[in-house]
Amino acid sequence: MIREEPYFMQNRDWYTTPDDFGSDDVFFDDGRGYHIRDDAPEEAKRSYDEFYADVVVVADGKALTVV
Amino acid sequence: MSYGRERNNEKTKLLGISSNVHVTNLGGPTDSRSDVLQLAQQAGFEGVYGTDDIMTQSMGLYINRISQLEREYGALKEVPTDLAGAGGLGYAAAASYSATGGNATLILNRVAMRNAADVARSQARSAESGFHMPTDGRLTSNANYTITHEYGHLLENALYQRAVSNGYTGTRSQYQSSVFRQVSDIAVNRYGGNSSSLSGYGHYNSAEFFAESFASANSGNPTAYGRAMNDWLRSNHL
Repeated sequence: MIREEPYFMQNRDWYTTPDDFGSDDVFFDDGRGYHIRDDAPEEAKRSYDEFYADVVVVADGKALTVV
Repeated sequence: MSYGRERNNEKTKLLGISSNVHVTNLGGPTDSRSDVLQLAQQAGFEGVYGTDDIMTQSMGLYINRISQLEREYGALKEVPTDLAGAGGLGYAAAASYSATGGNATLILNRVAMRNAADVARSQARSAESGFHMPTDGRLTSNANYTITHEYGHLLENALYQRAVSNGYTGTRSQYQSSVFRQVSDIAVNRYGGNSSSLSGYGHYNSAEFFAESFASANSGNPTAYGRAMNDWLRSNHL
């Protein structure tokens, strides 16, 4: 899916990547490349949750995974 | 897939409502333009639904791009695929497929994808910010970036479906993780790739990693990850 850049990525202090922990991995163990910081603003946290929420469309009774 | 065929406003239901991506009014009547239908059929699409709001020249550009990619990679031949317009917010285009196999769909947002020139400008901004991979800067490369990225998703799905039919027993997620590790190893060890060789969106998860690396590989200015994807696809094709 091509989507808009999420709000939480506007400030590098609001999220972490494996890089920040000295890891060469692109993704954390949960498969995500970003984790939101506990001290990020609520709006950034909401943006993060929306960014990683699954998008599924049901058409003709079949659930379609959207990527 | 029968959704939207010859019907307006096929009822669709959105799950995952906490997402900021809203896909509505998926599909619709068959595209009314005979030249668009002919191009799409030649490219390999099963059908084209609900896309009349997208400008004819833009549709021609997108479908021609798919046609080029299809000749090289064959995703639509492997998994029957519809092209469908949709409404909603928060996205420009998407690919969808059933978890249990069956047809795939390339979804174009009727507003965001209406004019390819606007798509090109949007991509140029996203590449400049680092959220998307860079292209060679040509107007057509930027206009086609979105379509190329989505074709990457269709190709990965086709490769996974082929692997399953050949006896692969892992989940889709496990397959994507495995592909990521292989491509990443090539990028780092063969081409000196690092974190900055991958777009911000490519860091989202392994599915978008594939699509972003694929788009980089096919947009005229591949990064280490784009070059690595090219190498990987040479030995992992349909």
